[in-house]
Amino acid sequence: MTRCIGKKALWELSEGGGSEAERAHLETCEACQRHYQHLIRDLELIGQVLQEPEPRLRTGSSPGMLPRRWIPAAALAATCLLVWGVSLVWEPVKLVWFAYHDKETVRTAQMIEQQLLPALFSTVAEVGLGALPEQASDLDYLQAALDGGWPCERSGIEQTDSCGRNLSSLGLDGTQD
Amino acid sequence: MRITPVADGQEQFAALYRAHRARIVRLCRLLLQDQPEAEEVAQDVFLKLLKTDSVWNHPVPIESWLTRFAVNACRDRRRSRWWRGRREMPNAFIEDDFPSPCRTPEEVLVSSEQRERIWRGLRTLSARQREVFVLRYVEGRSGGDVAELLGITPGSVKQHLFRAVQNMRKALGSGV
Repeated sequence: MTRCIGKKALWELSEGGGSEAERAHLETCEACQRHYQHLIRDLELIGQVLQEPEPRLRTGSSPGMLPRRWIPAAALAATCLLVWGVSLVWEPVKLVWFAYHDKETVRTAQMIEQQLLPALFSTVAEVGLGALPEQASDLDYLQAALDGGWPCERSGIEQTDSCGRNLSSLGLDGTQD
Repeated sequence: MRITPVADGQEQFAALYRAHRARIVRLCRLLLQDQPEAEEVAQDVFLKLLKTDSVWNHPVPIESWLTRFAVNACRDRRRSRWWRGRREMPNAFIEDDFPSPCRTPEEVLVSSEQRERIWRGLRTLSARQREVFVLRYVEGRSGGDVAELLGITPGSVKQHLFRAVQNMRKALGSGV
């Protein structure tokens, strides 16, 4: 045997194992002998130290670590916590968003009420009729018809006394604001 | 020491306790790396021995029974103390606790450093590696004995033992 002995074989020799060839090599090879002596010395030193009382340990200064098998569970728990936390934060954001959009809706409705409706129904305002009478019964229309015609329209027709009277009775003369 | 059931069993037990307590405590301390817990477990081991009648009639030497009880009890204890061990994970040895027979300050330093490395190295071993290493190199048992005590094959003992030796030498700073 010409090659030097490997670590495992060297250790096996120290345990009383190994082949005859290895043993013969160990007797002749200085390098292997050196390694062998080193191994024996280390083992003796370790055995001797471990016979002594174990030194006390400083405790408490290092943060505890989870054992590896708990890491997936911890990761899952952390993810759930994160999702829950995000949902908590997201909820107010959603509320603010909707509140903002609600304000927009209200503003739009106000705009329609204040600007669009008057523009669309400006004729009513222009003639000064104001709001329609709350109650104009069929009887009024019947009476107007019996008196000589329909209640007058404003455009292009001259108002007669009866027309004015009829309008008055119908509340369409513009005096009843 | 081989003990057979005798009338004055209590005296025999007391003698056995005196003869083996220190060894069992040391073994438990090395396996558990916790002195108070090691003492508790050693106490349990002797109580168990006292309660197990079959041990006294068995041809196997009582020392082997004690060692086997101790190893198994340490395993059980390790399983149940994982949380506490993790919570109070110690990180450094107290330097004053390293006894140093050396003379010069340089030797003292090297020696305490080596000791610390060895104790740290022992902590890096797996439970099985620690068992085989301690039984082989501290208790001085043969490979066959270790295999029998741990209930594993001699091949498995060799494998764990070699890895343990490698790890310990690496911890010691030897060119492994």
